[in-house]
Amino acid sequence: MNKLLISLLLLSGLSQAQDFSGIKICVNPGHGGNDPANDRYIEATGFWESESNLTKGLHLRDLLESHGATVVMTRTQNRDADDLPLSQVVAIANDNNCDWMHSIHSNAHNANTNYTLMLYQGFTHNPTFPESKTLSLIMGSEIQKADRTSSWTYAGDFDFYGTGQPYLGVFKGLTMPGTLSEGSFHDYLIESARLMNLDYRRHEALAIFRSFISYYGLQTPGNGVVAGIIRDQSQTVTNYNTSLPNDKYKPIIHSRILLKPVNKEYIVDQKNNGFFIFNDLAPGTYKVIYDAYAFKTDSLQVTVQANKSVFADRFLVSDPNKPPKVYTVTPADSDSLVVTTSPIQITFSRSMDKASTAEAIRLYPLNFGPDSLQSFSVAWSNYDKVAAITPHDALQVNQEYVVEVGSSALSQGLIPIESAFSSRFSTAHDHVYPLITAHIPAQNADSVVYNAGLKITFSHPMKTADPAQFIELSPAVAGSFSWLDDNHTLQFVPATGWALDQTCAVTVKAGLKDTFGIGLKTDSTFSFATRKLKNMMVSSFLPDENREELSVKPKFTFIFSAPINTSSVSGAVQFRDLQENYIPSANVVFSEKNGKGIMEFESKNLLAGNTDYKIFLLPKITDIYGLSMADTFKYFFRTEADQYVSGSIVENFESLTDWLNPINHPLSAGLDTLQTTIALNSKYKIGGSYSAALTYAFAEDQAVCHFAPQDSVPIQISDSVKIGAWIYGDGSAQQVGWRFIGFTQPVHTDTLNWIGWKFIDLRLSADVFGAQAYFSGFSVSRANPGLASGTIYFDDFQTDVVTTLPGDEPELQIKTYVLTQNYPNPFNPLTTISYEIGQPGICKIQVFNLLGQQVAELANSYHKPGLYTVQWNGGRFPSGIYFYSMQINNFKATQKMILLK
Amino acid sequence: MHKKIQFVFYFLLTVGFLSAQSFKVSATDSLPLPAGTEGYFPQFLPAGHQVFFTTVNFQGISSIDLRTGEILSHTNLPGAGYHFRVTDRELIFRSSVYLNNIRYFQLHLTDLESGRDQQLIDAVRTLDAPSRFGREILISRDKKLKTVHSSGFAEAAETDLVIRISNQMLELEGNNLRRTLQPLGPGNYIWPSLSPDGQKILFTLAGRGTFICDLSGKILAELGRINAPVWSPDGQWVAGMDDYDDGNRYTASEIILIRADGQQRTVLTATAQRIEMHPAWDESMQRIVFATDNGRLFILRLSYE
Repeated sequence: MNKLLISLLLLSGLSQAQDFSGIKICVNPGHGGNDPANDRYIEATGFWESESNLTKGLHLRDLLESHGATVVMTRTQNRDADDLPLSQVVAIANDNNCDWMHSIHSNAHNANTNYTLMLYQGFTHNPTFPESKTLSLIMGSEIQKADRTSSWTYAGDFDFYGTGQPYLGVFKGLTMPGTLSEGSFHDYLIESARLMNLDYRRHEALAIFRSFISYYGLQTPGNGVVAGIIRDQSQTVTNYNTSLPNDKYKPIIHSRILLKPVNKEYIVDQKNNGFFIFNDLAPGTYKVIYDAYAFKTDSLQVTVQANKSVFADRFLVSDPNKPPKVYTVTPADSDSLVVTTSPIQITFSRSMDKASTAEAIRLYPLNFGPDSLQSFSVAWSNYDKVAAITPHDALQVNQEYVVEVGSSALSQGLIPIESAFSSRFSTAHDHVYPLITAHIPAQNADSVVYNAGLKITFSHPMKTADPAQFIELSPAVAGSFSWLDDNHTLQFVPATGWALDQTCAVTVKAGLKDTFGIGLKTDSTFSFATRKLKNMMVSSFLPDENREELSVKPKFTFIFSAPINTSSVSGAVQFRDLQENYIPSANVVFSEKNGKGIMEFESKNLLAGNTDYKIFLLPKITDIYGLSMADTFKYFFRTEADQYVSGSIVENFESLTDWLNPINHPLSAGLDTLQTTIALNSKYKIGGSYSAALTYAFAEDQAVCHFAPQDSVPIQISDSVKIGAWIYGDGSAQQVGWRFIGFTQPVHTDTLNWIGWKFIDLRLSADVFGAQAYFSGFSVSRANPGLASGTIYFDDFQTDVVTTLPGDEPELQIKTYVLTQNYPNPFNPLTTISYEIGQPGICKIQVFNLLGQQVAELANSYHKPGLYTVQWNGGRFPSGIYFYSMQINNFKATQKMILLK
Repeated sequence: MHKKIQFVFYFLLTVGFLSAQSFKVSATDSLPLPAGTEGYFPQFLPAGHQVFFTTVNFQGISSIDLRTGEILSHTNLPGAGYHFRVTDRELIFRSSVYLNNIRYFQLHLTDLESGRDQQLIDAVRTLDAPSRFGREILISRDKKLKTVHSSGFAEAAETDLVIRISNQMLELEGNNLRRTLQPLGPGNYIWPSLSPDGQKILFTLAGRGTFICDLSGKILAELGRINAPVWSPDGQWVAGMDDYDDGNRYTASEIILIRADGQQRTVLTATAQRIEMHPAWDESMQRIVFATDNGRLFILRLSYE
C-alpha cells in the first residue's frame, strides 16, 4: 500500500463530516453594477440580473456559513466597482484556495422559455473537472424543483457554445471545480415577476445549498419549507409557457397567507408573482389559509418533510364584494417596550377610502380611555392599502396603547370593513431622547478662525422654531441660525466674527425638542478657542539655523498656522537670488499635520556657492478658511562657501546589490527590523537615475544602523585625500558617521541638522591611515531620543574630491542697505527683524514706543556686508504699536510693528 | 517542423538588461505548438532558452525549447501548472487529488535533466502553491517557512518572505513575521507578489485597481487598471493585462507595462484579433511571454529607450 493511499484513507474521515467545516466555497453572484454592457435588464418588471444574483449569493453565503463553511464572496454589493473582470473573479477563487467556485446566474432567450441549465467547463461528457458534472447533476435537479421551471439540463461549455474549447471566462484558469447555474429565464416575464420577490430568489439559494449538502455527503437539515403561488382561477394571461400550465392564471397580489398551527403569516407582494414561503418548519402537518382581498378565503393541508420544499399552490375564487380587513399592524398586538417615537403602520386587505378610514383610526393610551386620543397624521402607500400613522408628539412612556380601526372604515368601492379592529402595544419605560452627535468646532478646538461657522448635529430631526432661545453663546455673538440636513443640523454664522484670542462656550439647552416633541435631556456645553489673529501666518520654517551657510541643494519647509489653500500658492512663492534671477524649484509637496499647513520644496538645481538668496511668500497665499497673510513673508539665506568641484566616483548608487541590508549588518543594533530598509530612489538624486534611500527605525534608545558595502572600499592615499558623498539630510539631529576598517568608532560624524542635499567631505591623511584606507560604510546613530525613524539618501560617493576653499569666497554682492518688515507682525511676544548691509560700518537697531522712547537696542556694533536677523521679545511690554529703526553710515530707516497680546 | 525554427533572439540573453526609461516592442514571435496543444500561463526558464506552460486549468506542465522547438511534457498531474516554480535544474509544483469529492494537495519536485519526480508532501488539505524569493523556492509548513530542495526542506532564512492571500487579505510571512494587511480596507485582495528586493508588495484589490505598498501596507503607487500584474526582474516595471469581457467570455485584452511609480503606461500589444493575457518576463528583461485566450503562446521582444 503506497504512501498516498495510506494518507487518503486516514483523511477519508473528513467526508463523513456533519457540516461544512474545513470546506471553502467561492460564491460568485454573476455580473455586477447595473452595467448594460454586461448585465441583463428587464424593463417590464424592473429586473436586473446582477441584483437577483447578488440576493441569491448572499443568502447562499448565510446558509453555508451557518453550517460551518468558509465562504469567499466575489462581491457583496452592486456598485460600479462590483462589475469585476472575469479574470479577477477567477483570481479570487484561486488565491483563496477555495475548494469550489459556483457562479449564480439567470438565463434569457425568447421571452417564453423557462428551464434550468447547469454549465461547467469541458465537454458535456468529458468535463475538465469530473466533480463539476457530478455537482451539476445534483444542483440542476434541486433548482428545478425549487423554481419549478419546465425542465433542467446540463452541459460542458465546449459543447454548449460549440467552440470545442474553453468559452466561459469564469471557468478559465480555475484551479478547482466550478459550476454555473442558470436557475430560470428572467426574460420570461412571468418568471421575471417571480424573480422580483426576494424570498423567491432565496428559495433558489436554498436549493443550491441543498445541492452542496448532497454533494459533500453531509447531514441534511431537519426542517423543511412550505411555498406556493396563489392565482386567480378566473383570469388568464397571454404569453405563458405551455409547459408550465399554472402560469396561464394571473397571480394574486397583496394577499395574506396564514400557516396554522404555528400562526405565521406572509403578505404576498404587489409584484405580480403571487409567491409566498414559510421557512424552517419542523416536519409535520400544517394548514395553509389563503385570505386574499377580493377572493373567497380558502385553505389547504400540507405535510412538511425535512430538507424539502412542499408546494401549496392555490387557485382562488373571486369575491368582489368581500369586505376589507386589517391584515397586519405594526407594532404588533401585545408588543412591548415600543419606542415612543415608533411609526405605526396598518396594512389593509384592499385599497381603502382614505377619508373614512383615517377618520375611523384611533390611537389612545388605555389608562386614559378613548377620550384621550393621540393626534396624528396619516400617509398612504401601496395603492392606499398601507396607512403610516405618525403621531404629532411622542407617545407617553410606560403606557399601553390601543390602535383601533372603527367599523366606519370603507374600501374604495365603499364596502364597509369586515369588522372593527383593535390592537394593543406597550411603550418603553423612557423616551429615546435626542442627542448631540457632533459639533463643529470640536470640543477644545484651538485656533478657530474668527469667522468660523458653528454646526451642531442631532440624532433626530429637530423642531425648527426659534432655535436662538435654546443656544447660549459666551461671550455673546450676533449672527444667524439655519437648519440643514433635514433639520438634523443647526448652523450658526457669526455676523462680524468671534472675538479674537478668546475661549468661547456654546450651551445647547435642554428645552430644544425633536420633531416628536422630546427635548434634549440635559444642557450640553462645549467650548473652543479662537485665533489671536485674523490673518494666517508662517508659524515656523526650516532650515531655521545656520542660514548663512546652507547647502547648495537645500530643502525648505514652511509651516503655516492652518492648512493651505494650495490653489492660492501659484505665483505666490518667489525664489530668487539678489539679482532677482528666478530659481526653479522641485518636489513641491503640500500637506497638513495637527491642523497646520506645510509646504515643502527644494531648489531644482544646485545653487551657486557663497551666494545670497531670498524666498518671498506673498500675501496672496490663503489658508483653507480663506484667510491670507498680512504681509509678505521674507526668508533670506546664503549658501555655504566651501563647494564641491569634482571627484572620482566610487559608488553612484545606481544599484544596491553590493550593499548589505542594514538589518543584516553585524554591528547594527536596536533597530526595528521591519521598518528599516534600503532601496533605490528615483525621486531624490544627484546624478544618474537613482540614489540610495536608507530608512532607519530605532526600536531602542541605544541604536545604530549600519549602511555598508558587502566588501570594504579601498581608498588610495598619497599624502592625503579628500573623500565625500552627497547626503540628503532629514533634519532629525541623529548622527551620520563614516566608518573605516581598523577604527571602532566613525572617523567622522555629522549631525543631521540639514534637510536636502549636502556634500559632506572629509580629508584622510596618510599619517593616520597609511597608504590605503578601507571604507566600511556609513552609520546612523541615535542621538535624538525623541525621534525614532527617518529617511536619508546617499548619492555619488567619491574620492579625490576637489572643493573650493574658504579663502576663495567671492565678494558679497550686496551694495545697499535694507530694513525689512518684521515677521510675524502682529506678534506675541517674539518677532524677527531681518536687514541687509551693503557696506561695512557700525549698525544700530533700536526699538521705540509710540511716545518715541527707546525700549530696546537690538544691535550696535561693526557689521560686515551681509544679511542679518535679530529677534525682539516684547514679553514685558504692553500691547501696542512700536517702531524699530536701523542706522548705519548715512543710511537710516524705520518700520512699524504691532505687539498684540 | 518546429525543430527547424531558429530563435535568434535567444542569444540576446547574453546582454545584461538595461535601466530602461521606456520600452518598445521590436518583434512578436509566435511559439509553434503542435495541433491540439494549447498553452496557458507561460514562464521562462531562468536561463532563458525554454518556456514552460500549462493548460487552461493547470493540468500538467510542458515546455518548449526555444532553440530547437522541442516540446517536453514534464507532468500531467491536475493543478500542477498553478504557480509552478522552475529553476534551471528543477520544477517544483503543487498538484490536486480528490477523494470523496474533497480536494487534497501534494507537492512535487521534478529534476529537469533526469525527469525524476519526487513527491515531497503527500495529500494534505492545506498547502499554498510554492513561492519564489530571490533564488529560493519557499513553502509554508507547520507555520514555518521552508526552502524546497531535492533533498527535502530546510528552514528558510530570517530575511526570506512570502506574500499570499489569506481570508481575502494580504498575508506576509517570514520566520519571524506573520502580518495580515488590508492597505485599502476590506475587499478581495488578489495577485499579490513581492518586489525582487523584497521591500514592496504588488497587489490588486478587485474592483479598485492595482497598487504597490510597502511591507507595512503603506500605499506607494497606484497603477490603475492592470490585471495579473507581475514585477520586472529589476523591480522598476510591472507587466500585466488589460482584459475585458461581456460577463460570459473575454472580448479583448492587451499586454501593458506600467512603471512601478505608476507614472508611465505603455500598451505593448494592440491587436483587435488577439486576446493577449498573463504575461511573464525573462530575467534579461528583453522578452515577455504571454498566452492568448485560445491557448497560443507568443514572445514579445523588447527594445529600450
